[in-house]
Amino acid sequence: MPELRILVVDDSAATRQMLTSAVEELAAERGREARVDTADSGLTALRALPSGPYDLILTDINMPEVHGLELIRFVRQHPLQKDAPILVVSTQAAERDRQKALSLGATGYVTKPVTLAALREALTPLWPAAAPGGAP
Amino acid sequence: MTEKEFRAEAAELVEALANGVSALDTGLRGGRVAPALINDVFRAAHSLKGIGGLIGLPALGHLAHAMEDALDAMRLGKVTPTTGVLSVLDEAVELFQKLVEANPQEAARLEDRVNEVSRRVGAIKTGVEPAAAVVARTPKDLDLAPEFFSVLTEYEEHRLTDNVAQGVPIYLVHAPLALDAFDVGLGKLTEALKSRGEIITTLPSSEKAPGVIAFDLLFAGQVAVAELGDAVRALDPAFTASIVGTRPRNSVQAPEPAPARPAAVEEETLVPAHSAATPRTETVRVDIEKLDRLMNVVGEIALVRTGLGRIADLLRVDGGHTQPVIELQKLARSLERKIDELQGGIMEVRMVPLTQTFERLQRIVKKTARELAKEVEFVVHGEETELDKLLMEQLVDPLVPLVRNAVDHGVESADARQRAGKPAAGRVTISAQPRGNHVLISVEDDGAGLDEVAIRKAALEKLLVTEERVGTLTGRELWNLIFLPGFSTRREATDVSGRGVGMDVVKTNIARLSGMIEIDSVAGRGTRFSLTVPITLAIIQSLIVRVRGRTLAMPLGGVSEILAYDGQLLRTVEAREVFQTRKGTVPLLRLGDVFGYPGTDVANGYVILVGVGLNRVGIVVDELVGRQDIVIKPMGRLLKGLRGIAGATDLGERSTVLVLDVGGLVEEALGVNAAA
Repeated sequence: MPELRILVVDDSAATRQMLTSAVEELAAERGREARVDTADSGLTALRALPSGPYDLILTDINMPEVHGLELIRFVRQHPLQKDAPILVVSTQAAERDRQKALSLGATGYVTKPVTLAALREALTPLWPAAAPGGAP
Repeated sequence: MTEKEFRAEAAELVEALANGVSALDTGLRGGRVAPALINDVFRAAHSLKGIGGLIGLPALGHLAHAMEDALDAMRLGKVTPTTGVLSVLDEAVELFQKLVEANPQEAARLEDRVNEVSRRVGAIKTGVEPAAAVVARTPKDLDLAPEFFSVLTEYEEHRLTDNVAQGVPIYLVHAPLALDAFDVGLGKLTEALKSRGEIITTLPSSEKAPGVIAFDLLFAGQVAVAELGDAVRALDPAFTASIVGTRPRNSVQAPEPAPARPAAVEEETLVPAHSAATPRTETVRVDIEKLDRLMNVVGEIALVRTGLGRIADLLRVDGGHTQPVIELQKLARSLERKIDELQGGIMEVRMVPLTQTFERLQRIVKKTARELAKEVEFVVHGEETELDKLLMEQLVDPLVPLVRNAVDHGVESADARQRAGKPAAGRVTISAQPRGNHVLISVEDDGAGLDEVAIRKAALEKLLVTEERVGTLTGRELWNLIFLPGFSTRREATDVSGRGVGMDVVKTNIARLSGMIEIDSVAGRGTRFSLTVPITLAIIQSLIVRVRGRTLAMPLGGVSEILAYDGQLLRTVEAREVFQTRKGTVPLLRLGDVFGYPGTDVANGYVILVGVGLNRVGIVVDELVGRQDIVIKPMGRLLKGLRGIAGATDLGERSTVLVLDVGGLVEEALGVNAAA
């Protein structure tokens, strides 16, 4: 079974670390291998995108230079990535930005601090447990 | 440009000025006057100043100059817009509207008035009132593509608002970069920009070229566009910088997201917001006369087509289905389709939405309300409905007195309203709805309704009806009396409504457009005037009929149903013939009798039902010849006032026939104007 390609974008190394191990575990629950790329800013993420397509993109909103909203818009315009599920990982306070993210085409969101359970719940519709690897 | 085109431009500027002043008024009532708006009005006045001399109207230039000075003072915060200031500006706008349509003699007569108003407008700039707290221009005023706003985070929005409010120019820097090394180029650009101001956002977008990623940076900085342009070009010749101007405001209710506009315009072609910018446009102004001429030609081509079709038919009857005849018929049919397309195309060009007209009416409502010190809310529905431009212009005349009346006579004083348990502010609603080839426009107020007692009294005093008759009139019959020439329920004409334009003129104007007007009124609840007008005057579908050996054209617009004439269904009520239909009886009108044609109607003719609602009439004809698109030509001066005739048309067989005025005939039959 092909591995799941995941991109984690966050400017905090700790968050990147946490998200990486969480998605690896959730992929394993579905009997899949996960290959996670990380980016420390939206700008770095832009560089990583051409090596996709990704089966999932997790992104923060508040990042220097290219931020999450801009990244989402860009991904949705990108011929290779436009259908990739995007989960926004943001703080409770950024409610308005989160709404904007959804209207720009984000698939869903998880509130920081992220728990495994919350991420699992957010991923359930994207990666159905019964049919592992809903994404190609 | 010719003088005519300058004049058209002047008229547009006056319109912009008028809308601007009206928007300022709205802003003032809302407690917030956007500086950008003042700036827009200022620019319109500035441009108008230059045009005055070009169209031989120096007075217009002088007035515009005074206006420009006043707005400049306001724009720079030296003078605060107040209701007093606005009413002076309103006067100036009204004068502009007159001037722009005036010929040199009329303009000369207006000179004293222009001098007087110019003096008062000029006095505004010396106003000593302290400036109100500076009201933030908002990022919404920026001419940025809507998707730009959709990606700004809350913080970025805040930074943008802050910079805009402080008057810092906003620039858009476009940087296309190679995908494999964009961070280096972007890094340099970011550094260069940060040394000159603040980067608000960095928006990446896919370029069409492969391997290229482009960034649009929104940048706020106190630098000149040329300097910034040089700085970014020094980094990479492909980089461009352009200033983000303010969005031109034409409408009173400036819609939130503007229609898609290019996010950036070429650097050199863009003029910063504070100079008199000429908006780039992709439209062509066309003289409506030219369109009319085209339309006439198309109408004539259509007649040639009809002729060809007829020859083909004749040949088929005479010579049978030979190949050339079949070919000819095919060609005639395809020509017909193309002509239809052409006609549709030209018609579409002539169609304009009612928006501008409604805006004009809104200004009139506001102005009237201000003059009468009434609180009136103006509600508009269906302003996107389209109408023939020429017709639209002629529609303004009857609509203006209707909205004035709604404010003046319709809406009661605040006291009276409160006593009646209504909100103090009255409401005037104007709405438009497309109805096939017609548009239904209604002007409605929530006032006290028509005063039937006063109508009876006035009609009697003016000897418009007999005492005996007035008692029997009810509802619509009674209300319709106000359409009679010379009717006015006010003893003294008020300054507002009573400017000599009575309801009879309104009615005549609407009839001239082949339209109809109807009144509905409920005591204590309000009055509604409903106008039905065709969407165009240019080409009219009509029914060709024969009556006692004569051919006539009847516009199909008014026709609702055609029934076979049947003597059995004929009744006589009060010495008038009525005809039994499924929906009740209708009065019959014999065209032959109306026009005095000798002879009698045939027994196997038709009854054409025309009109709507209670105003239905059956018109008796002998024969239905067919349907045809016609171009109505006016009747010359001598025959102009002919009742029941709208004009003449050429049917192609070198025969000219009269076109019936259905609205007029209906009135004739119902005796609307013969109440006495």
